[in-house]
Amino acid sequence: MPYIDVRDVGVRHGKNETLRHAGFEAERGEIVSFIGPSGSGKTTFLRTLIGLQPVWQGQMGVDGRIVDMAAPASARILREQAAIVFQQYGLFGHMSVLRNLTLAPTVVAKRSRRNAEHEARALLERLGLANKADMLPADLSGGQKQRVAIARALMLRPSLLLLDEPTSALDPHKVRDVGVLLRDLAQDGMTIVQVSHAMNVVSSLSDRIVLLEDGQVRAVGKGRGCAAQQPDIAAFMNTHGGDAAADPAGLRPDPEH
Amino acid sequence: MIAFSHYDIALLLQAMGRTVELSLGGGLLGIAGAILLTALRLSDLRYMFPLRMLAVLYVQTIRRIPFIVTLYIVFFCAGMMGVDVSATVVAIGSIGLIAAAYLCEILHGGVKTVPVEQVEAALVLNLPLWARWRYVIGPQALSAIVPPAVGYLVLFIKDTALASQIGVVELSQAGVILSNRGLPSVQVFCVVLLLYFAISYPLTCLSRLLEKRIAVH
Repeated sequence: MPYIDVRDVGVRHGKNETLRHAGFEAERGEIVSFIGPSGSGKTTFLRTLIGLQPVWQGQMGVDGRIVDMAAPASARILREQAAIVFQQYGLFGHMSVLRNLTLAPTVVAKRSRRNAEHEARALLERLGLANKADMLPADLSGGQKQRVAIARALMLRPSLLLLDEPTSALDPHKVRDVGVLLRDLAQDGMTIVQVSHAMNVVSSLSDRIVLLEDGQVRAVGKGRGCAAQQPDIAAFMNTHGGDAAADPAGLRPDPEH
Repeated sequence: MIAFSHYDIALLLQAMGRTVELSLGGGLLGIAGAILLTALRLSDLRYMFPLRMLAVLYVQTIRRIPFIVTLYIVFFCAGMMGVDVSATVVAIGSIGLIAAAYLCEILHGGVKTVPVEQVEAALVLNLPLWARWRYVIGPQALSAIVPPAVGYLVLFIKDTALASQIGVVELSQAGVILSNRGLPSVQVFCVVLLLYFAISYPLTCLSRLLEKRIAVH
């Protein structure tokens, strides 16, 4: 049984079906990329996985535990196992970086502030943000904000990390840093699902690629180098500014890994 | 310099007290009403839809009616229903009704300045409703609410003068009474002006203080 098993997700906006029978699987520690033309439902699909987008049907299994995504109580359950990093990060503008990280652990998980701050500082250090703890989000660069947002998500110790367009707002040379970070997290056993338009990142990073079109899963590529092997995915990537066979960011894991 | 008798001074001070009473009572009622109306407008529960529409209708209607008309409506409604209350209570009620509508617009607008992604981020962090308001939405909305809300309250202290139309002896009416009694009008109303200033200026100071506190937060 796969670690993440999402099936039959349906989203309706009035008479429009923005998502139909969408699903995917992922093993622990895999990086999954949702690709597809704009309006294909990638971000909608991602948002259903954390209960931000109501669905009328769908189920999600995490480590064998099945959640009915259409049930009103599902959002809370989904949010206990998953965390999301928004495209614009959504950092709390009036709080220091440190407080952004410790708010949920202290208020929701009732951890002591000291304990949470200790972990937060360690995490910031790991992400190269040790000296930014007392700054406000507005004083950070785009790349730093994103790493803070990732750190805030990691404080929840999620088993599933969702990222909406993690590289779209970054300078090209910062894109590689994010890729390395995501690869590290996946190697630690975290399952990552990202929506991406950056085909170079997708082909370098993904263990699995899900091509969405018109609210449906059109094709799934699995395993390293899958971008080139699956014809629909390769065709899409080659027409959207990427080379399916390439690893331009140099992020593809070693074969023996 | 005019010679105010003790009686005149007592009248002025009493009237000033009445104006404060109208402003404070109406303002507090208005703030409470505005919070309720805003909560209704922000609720996304489906069965709240009719109440939400009512709240919007209320705000949009009241804001289009002159204060004096609302005042008369409340005054004559109270009379028609045989409710035996003083003109002051009628005036406070009317002021509260109107202030609620205006303040609701300010509150609603302030809450909407908080970026959607932050609200969603608070949601996915599993923060309960109270914590989302206490830590994320509230502090940021307040900095957009306090300056215009205080600005509005200062403006509406002046509007309490209209309560004289239904027989409430408030500050401006006291001025009219004194000048009818033969005291020099210009001087009398200059004193009235100073007293209005004395009422509203502390409010402005309070606002500055609040803004500073919010900014520090």
